[in-house]
Amino acid sequence: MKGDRLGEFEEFTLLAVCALKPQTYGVPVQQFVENATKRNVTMGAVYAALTRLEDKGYVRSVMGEATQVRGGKRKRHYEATADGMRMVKELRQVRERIWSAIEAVRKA
Amino acid sequence: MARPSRLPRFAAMLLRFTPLGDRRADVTADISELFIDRHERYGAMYAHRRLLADIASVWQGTSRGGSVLQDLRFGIRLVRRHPGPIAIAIGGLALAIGMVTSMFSLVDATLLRPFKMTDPSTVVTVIGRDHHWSIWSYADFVKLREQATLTRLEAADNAHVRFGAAADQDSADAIALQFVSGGYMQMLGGHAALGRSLEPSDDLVGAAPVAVVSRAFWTAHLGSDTAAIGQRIWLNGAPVTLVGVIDERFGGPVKRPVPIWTTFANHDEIAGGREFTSTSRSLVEVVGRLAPGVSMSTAQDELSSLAGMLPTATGPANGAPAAPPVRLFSARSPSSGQDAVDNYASAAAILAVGGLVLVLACANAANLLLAGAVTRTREIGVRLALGATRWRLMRQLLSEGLLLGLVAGGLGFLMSLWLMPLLARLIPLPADLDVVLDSRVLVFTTGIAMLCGLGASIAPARYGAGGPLTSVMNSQNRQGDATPRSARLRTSFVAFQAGVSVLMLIAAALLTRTAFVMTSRGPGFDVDKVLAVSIESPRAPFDRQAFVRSASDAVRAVPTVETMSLAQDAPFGFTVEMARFGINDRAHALYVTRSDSNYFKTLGLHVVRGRALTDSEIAAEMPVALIGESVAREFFPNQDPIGRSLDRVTSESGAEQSVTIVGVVSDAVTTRVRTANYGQIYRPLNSTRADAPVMLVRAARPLLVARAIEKRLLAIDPRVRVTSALVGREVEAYFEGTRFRAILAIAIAAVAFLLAILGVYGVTAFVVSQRSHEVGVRIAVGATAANIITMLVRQSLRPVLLGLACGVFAALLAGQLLAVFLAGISPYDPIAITSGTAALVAGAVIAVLGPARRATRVDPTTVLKEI
Repeated sequence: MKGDRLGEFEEFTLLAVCALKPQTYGVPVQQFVENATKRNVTMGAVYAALTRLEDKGYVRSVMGEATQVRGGKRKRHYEATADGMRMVKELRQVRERIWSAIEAVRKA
Repeated sequence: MARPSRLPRFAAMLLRFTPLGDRRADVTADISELFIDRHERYGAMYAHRRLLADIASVWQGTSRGGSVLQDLRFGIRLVRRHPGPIAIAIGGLALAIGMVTSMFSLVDATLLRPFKMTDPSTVVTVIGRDHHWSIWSYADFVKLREQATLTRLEAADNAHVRFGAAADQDSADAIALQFVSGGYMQMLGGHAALGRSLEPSDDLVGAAPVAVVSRAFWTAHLGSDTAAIGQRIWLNGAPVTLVGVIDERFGGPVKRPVPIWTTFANHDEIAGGREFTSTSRSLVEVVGRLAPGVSMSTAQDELSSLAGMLPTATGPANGAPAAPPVRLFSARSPSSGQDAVDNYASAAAILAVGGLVLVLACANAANLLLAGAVTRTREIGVRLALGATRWRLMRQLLSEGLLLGLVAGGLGFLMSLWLMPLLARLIPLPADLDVVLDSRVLVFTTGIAMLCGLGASIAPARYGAGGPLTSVMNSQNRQGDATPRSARLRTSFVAFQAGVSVLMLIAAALLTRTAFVMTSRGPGFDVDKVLAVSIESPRAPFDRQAFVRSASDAVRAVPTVETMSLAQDAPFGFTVEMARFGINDRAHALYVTRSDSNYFKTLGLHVVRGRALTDSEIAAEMPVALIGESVAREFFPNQDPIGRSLDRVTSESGAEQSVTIVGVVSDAVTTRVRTANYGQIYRPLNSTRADAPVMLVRAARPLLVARAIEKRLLAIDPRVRVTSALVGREVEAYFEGTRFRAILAIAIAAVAFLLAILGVYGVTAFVVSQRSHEVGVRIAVGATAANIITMLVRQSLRPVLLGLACGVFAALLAGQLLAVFLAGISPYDPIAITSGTAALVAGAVIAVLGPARRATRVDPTTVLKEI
């Protein structure tokens, strides 16, 4: 769709996965994005974004072992790949370059 | 706030059907974790709302779910574009679904829902002796109860009492009461909501008289006053301590709710006349509960062998056959038991009528959808050409149908909410029957709605998705083409609709005629001038016959009283005596009225032939009888029945007896019967019968003399209780039933008629628009408007007439089924059949004329230019 580039929601999701290091799963990602963006985020959107990120190679997932916490239900654990980490940093640099330009204009 | 430990069941179900593949487990776990967390932090409302959004989003995210939503969205867009036909289809379906839902709720409430008691499936009725009823003598019951090990047995007897909250107070109406054995409530699960329930110790001789009441009764008659518990209430004037209010979840295996229960030990105090001891011959109804794990047949064998040993059993020693085996029947719900087959048959009959209307509505919707599919062949062709699979297209059309069905189902459900109270009035139901929309009804309606939606869209879908690709793409026809296949389908729908609706119209016409005939003919006697006075004798020694004699004299002496008669029961009373008489080697059931010689004069019945009964015949109880006019006509066509004799096939004693006909009486409806002929036979009053006769008093203004009569009777013996009622009131209720049935039938027929006419109109309008080109050519070469109209009308009416013929034929076949509800007219009544047929033909002609006339306004030049 967008090649290797990311949509806004995908970016948020990837950032959430990075923030929730070393490993995370669906629920914390959803809560993180919802808290950060202050908008309602559905699980379906989160899964869709995670799946796409996985297809693009920015995250990978493994099925975890059953734990007592969720009544013995297994979780799918996500973590950012090296490509994913690089992508996040790149995105940040892009934004910082733009912001420094904006601030330069303001000061002038 | 209670913390939920898992997802609500509906959500788990939805997720199970979501096409998630191997991700189902972790997605479900995630969603449920979120739900529980939100529930805890923000409350149930928020958690549920977000849960729904999550589930929907997961659906949408998956490719298969997404395409279904896409289909539905596309369907909704189409509806917006062609609101008219879709609205008609939905309206028709909704109407039918609403009707069927209401019918089903009533059937459910009256027949299918289990009786209110604990574990209804192990409760049985115990049938023995006569092989028809669960009636045993109290002595037999006590013996069986002691000896049975596989079944716990308890007994009950129904009665009516007058209730008083204070000693000098009495209810106007008799209130139902059940005398029960001590363990009855315990066994069936009649627990107390307040106070205590009846216990075995309450049924011991010499126990303090106690009673319990239902919650409904406690609310209605005792003002929900908790202080009333432990206080005395008066039943038939006898003081009884009210010890508890029974939980509303209990009713017992009875069709009509019981407001008051007391034990057999109190029977003598309250009702008198019968005793309940271990040697008592009083009859009681026996119910049982199977011990855990015991099968019905094992319990049956045990009870049979026990019953064979009862002292009252006719053993082989007498030369008579051994005691018949005991039979057990489930008492789970009103529809189980020995007449389960009948019950299910009548339920099925009711639902069959509903089903027919439903099919009609489906055909209608299918027809409209089919017309839509035909005009959409181009759209479909384009999609096929772009690579859509036929299955995908078919699914598109089916999901549109499903959506249609669900929308109609929702509307129908809403409609049934107000249809139901209406329907409940049509069928004489106990007033306190609780007709509620339970989950079974909801499941039923949803199922029906989905079925309708799919049913209505299958034909169009098959047609629409099966169209040849190339011809569609090549075709320059703007309207799509009406292939012979779709035309044939549509005309057969129309024929079917016409057939069903003419069947319904004829049924409605028959019932309407019945209502008219009944109303115009009336009950056949002077309803408004007759007062029924019933006397209840005291428990103490009492010479009933002497009292009746002096009471009769006293009543005759009341001013304005014209005549007075003694009869076994008032017209439309609770006693219905039927006997079978043999005539010409065939047995006929007749309704027996037993009365004295004044009966005919008092009720205003005319003795049209022969004479009335004489006093000496009454006194001697001679084997003589008068018969109704219609009985005379049926049994002795073109003969004089006077002096002929009827052989009674069965009688209480089992002996055969023949009666001589001395007269013929004008027809009258005096019993709650529903047969085509009134079938009445009048016999002398049996004075030795235990219960007192009813006094029928004829006066110009009967209510005015009621008070005076009561006063005079009490003056003779203050211990008696006198109740008087206008006979007219009961009669009015009976006739109301006939009228309501007619209204119901008219309503159903109107729906069917409307659907058929809509169908005819829809098809004609479509055909005409398809043929506008041809019509234009015809006009151009010289056809007149009249020619065109005649041609179109003739062609459009052909399927209607075909269906009509089938419908009339079906009505003739179904006549016997309907005959049960018809009084005074034949199920083959020509007037009814003609009017039903005429209505449909007229409607169809009008429906066809409009579009046909429109067709003639086609301008030939524009049509020809389009070539």
